[in-house]
Amino acid sequence: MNVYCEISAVQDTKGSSKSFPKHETRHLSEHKNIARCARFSPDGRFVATGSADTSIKLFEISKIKQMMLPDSKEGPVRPVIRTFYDHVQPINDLDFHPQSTVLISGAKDNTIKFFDFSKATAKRAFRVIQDTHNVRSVSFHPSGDFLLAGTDHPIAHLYDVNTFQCYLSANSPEIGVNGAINQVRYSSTGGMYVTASKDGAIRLWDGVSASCVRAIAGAHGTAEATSACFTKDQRFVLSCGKDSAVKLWEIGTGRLVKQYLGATHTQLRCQAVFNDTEEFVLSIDEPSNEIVIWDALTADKVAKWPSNHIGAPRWIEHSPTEAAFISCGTDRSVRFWKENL
Amino acid sequence: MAAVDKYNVESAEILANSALHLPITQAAPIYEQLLTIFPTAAKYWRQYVEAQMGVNNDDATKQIFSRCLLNCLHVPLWRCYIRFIRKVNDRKGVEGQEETRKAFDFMLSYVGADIASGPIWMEYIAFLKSMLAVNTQEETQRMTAVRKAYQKAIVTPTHHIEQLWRDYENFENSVSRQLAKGLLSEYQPKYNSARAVYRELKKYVDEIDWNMLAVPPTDSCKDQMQWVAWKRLLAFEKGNPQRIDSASNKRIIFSYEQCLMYLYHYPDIWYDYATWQAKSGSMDAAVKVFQRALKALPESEMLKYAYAELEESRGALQSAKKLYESLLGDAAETTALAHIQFIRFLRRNEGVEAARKYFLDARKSPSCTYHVYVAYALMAFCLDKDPKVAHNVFEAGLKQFMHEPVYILEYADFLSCLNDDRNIRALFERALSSLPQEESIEIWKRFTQFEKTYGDLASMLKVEQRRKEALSGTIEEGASALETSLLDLISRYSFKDLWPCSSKDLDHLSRQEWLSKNIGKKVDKSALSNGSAMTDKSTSAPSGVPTASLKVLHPDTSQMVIYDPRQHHGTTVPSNTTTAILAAPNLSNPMATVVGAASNPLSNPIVSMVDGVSSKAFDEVLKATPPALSAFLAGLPSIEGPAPNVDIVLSICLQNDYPTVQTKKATSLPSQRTAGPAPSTSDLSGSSKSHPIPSNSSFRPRDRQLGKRKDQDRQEEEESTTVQSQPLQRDAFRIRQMQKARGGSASQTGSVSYGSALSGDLSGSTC
Repeated sequence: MNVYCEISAVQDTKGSSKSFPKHETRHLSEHKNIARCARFSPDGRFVATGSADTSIKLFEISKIKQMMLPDSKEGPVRPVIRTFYDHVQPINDLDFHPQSTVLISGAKDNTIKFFDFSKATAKRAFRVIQDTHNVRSVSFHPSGDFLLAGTDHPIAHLYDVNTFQCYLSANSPEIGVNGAINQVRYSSTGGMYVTASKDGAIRLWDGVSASCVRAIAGAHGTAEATSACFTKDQRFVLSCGKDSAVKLWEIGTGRLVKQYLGATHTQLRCQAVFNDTEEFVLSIDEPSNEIVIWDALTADKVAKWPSNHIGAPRWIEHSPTEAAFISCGTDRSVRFWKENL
Repeated sequence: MAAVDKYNVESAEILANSALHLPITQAAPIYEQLLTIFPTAAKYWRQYVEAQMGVNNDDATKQIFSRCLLNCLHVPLWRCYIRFIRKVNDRKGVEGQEETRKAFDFMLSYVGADIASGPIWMEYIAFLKSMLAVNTQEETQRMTAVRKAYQKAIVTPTHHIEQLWRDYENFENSVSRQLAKGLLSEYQPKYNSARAVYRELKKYVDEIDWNMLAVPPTDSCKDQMQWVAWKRLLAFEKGNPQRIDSASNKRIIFSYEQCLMYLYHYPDIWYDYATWQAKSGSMDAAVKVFQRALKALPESEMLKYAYAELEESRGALQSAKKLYESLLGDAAETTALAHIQFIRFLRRNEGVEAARKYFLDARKSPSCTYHVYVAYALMAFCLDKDPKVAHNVFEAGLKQFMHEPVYILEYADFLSCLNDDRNIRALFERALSSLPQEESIEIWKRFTQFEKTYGDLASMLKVEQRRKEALSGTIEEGASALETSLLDLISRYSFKDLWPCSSKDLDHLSRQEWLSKNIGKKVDKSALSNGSAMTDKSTSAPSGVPTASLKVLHPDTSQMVIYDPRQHHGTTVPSNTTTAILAAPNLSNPMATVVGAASNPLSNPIVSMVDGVSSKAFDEVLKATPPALSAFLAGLPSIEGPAPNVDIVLSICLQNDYPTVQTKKATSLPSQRTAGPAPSTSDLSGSSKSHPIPSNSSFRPRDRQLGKRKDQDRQEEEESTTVQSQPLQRDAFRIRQMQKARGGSASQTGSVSYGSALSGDLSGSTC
């Protein structure tokens, strides 16, 4: 074990910016209204998209790849393996259960719904959590026993998946009226979670006690913070806001470590995400309708690709396991991107 | 806690505000108390002194000024001072004027470099101009003084530099137009440079919060920003932006002094300041800085060592010695280090004998740890080149520190420097026989390493085997650790950074080792499907993730508040759902099963997977059907052919009294009811068990936990009502038809019935 650690430490030393490999892209599917969000399963085998048309589509990555092969003999392959219709308002966010074949969705209709995608025929949820607010973001605890819901309420709602009991932080800081949560994400061990709020703040919460351990007020000035996620080692948080900034924060100190400049996003709930190896950061430039990629270490812009959507993409999500990502457009379409081999 | 509360900024502000409205006799103790905590808080000093001035308490005012002025280079405070001086000397005529002028000079020598000092320069000049001049000689003197003041002011980067320049131009022109030209053209470039520096300087100054109270450093974002802002300002000043030789050092000192008003508790600033003083040649100033630093931070060992180092390097041994002695406190760890450093100091400055003597004394002290022995022995060995003394010290220490693995290792290192392999082996054996197993890991490691370098192949392998046997109990991997793995061989045949394999091989091997460990664990506990899912996940996941997933932290809901306005899940079904009647009992099932059990078996999926009893319960639930549905089905007569009489069906529906949600809750688990009378439903759940999913052959169902399976099962029934007859879920007849068709075919050709019902393909066509 020791031997292994030493080696990986050596490999970590890096020089100047790396180049992001070329990707090919393919139109995957079309919703009947704006495609609003996407999420990969933790094993990278599935991806789900949610739409303003209240539907959720589940794709199998292996089928997508099959579809993208130039010479698929067996006729057209359909990568959509499930479609779920159960919400009555647009879908805001999705998450996969870390171990089992369950997909959850948070929607404007104040509900979180549970879908089992092991069943070929199920279109409806098998469990429903009725929240009190518009559910803007959902995130499963790594154990799968709990989930967090980020809503219009400034404090994340923690649900016990088995009892549906809802818990709130007992000592949360004073948060102003504009504290609706745009995104909530657990860290890899569940020891922490992060919320990105409309008031521009990024807040870090203890995963065990749910107390706020650090609030980075005005992380994005007065503009909305639209996304926040942890690095796998839980040392940093990557955040994105409507001030057109993508920032990397050190959790231990609350220090701004890196800033990824050069992408304008002021309209949509833009996402900034890491690639699977966390060597690159991806986000969206709305005016030019491009996907922007930075080297995560040097913060240099390494690529700018036309999104191929009509109008700027609304969401971008990277596979946790391989060089592939997905983009969801206001043009209702879903595109898949994977490294050109 | 007390220390934290002591520096509470909010309460200090409240206290200071309350003092504003109190009579001075009551306010004075409050100020005194505040100022002992924040001795550099110029704003409190000013408030205090203004209160005293308000009641014309001249003596007290003077005293306060003498206490604060030199430590607080704060323009408003100093203006207070000059106001006071002018007031006192107002009616003293020429003598008073002279006193005031001196006071002005005194002030400007301290805060004249401040960026906000423009107004005091102006005040000074105005004061000079107002001085009485009875004859021409005095008038010339006065004019020269004014000119000098202007010329100093316009090379100082202040907020008012432009105004001062204009004033100066007017002044010179009013004196003599001819002379003015020469003087102004001489000073114009200096002024220009100062103005450029001012613009640059302003950027740095604007970053600084001049209202901050000096509190000990925290990790807060604001504190860090302030620290950075000050560092930038200091670096800027050190760059000597104005290219003036004489004033540069003064400005740097001024910046440091101001910085320390706010970063009073930051040892690094004190240290920087002192080393800068020492470097720029003024040792005495550096010593004074250290003395002040130790007054500010009496607990700081770092600063004491730094101070002692400075004293020692400039030969002031007595003072250095005193500092070392002051380091010998009560805390064992601190003191051990202080002993060691003092011994080294003595060895450097007073020779071997003094060090030895002190070591012998220190041995007897209760705070003497093994570190002191090691340090002294190594000193004797490396500096005095006396292995015998060193050996004796180690031996003497061994009696006392046999239980300290680190001491043993240090001793072994020493012996290996002597190439004394016989004694090293003996030492290892002695240590291993006396140390408890969990503390001997490192010793074993070093022992194998030692055999690798000193021993032959047989002894090498033997020690490795012995180590494995000895440690098998402590290390997690248990039995598998006993097996010789390829990794052991790699570690035997690697040297420094050379490996008998590529890093990729190594990566692969250690991941395999991890996997084998984990698979072993999982297979014990759970079904195979889960194990395979685990492997899938971890092989595809990038490195680093698998280890992280081992220690998941769970929320402790006892520390949180329950969110009340939540609605009960009996009512969670949206009203627009057409299956509301059937879905409601489905959703309340978790209530019946989960809430009933006090120690909730579902809360921990691993437990419930392991537990055989609960998995039996699971089979029971698998057959469960909503009571309403099962009662209805049981009531149906058997029919032949696809088209029963609708009227018959309707009459059955009307006659039967089906249990509602409320009655169902009162009943026990529905499974007992449904076992017999509803063959079609049990067939249905049977088909869900085998669950072929033919058209999606690549889709493997992943591990299912108990809780999930229950839910899936429940859903299965719901599906049967929803999937095929989407717009007509309530059509009981069609439900039954479909179930019959499914139940019949599930035995052999489940795939056919599924294929027809596959919603995935249906929806796929929409894309």
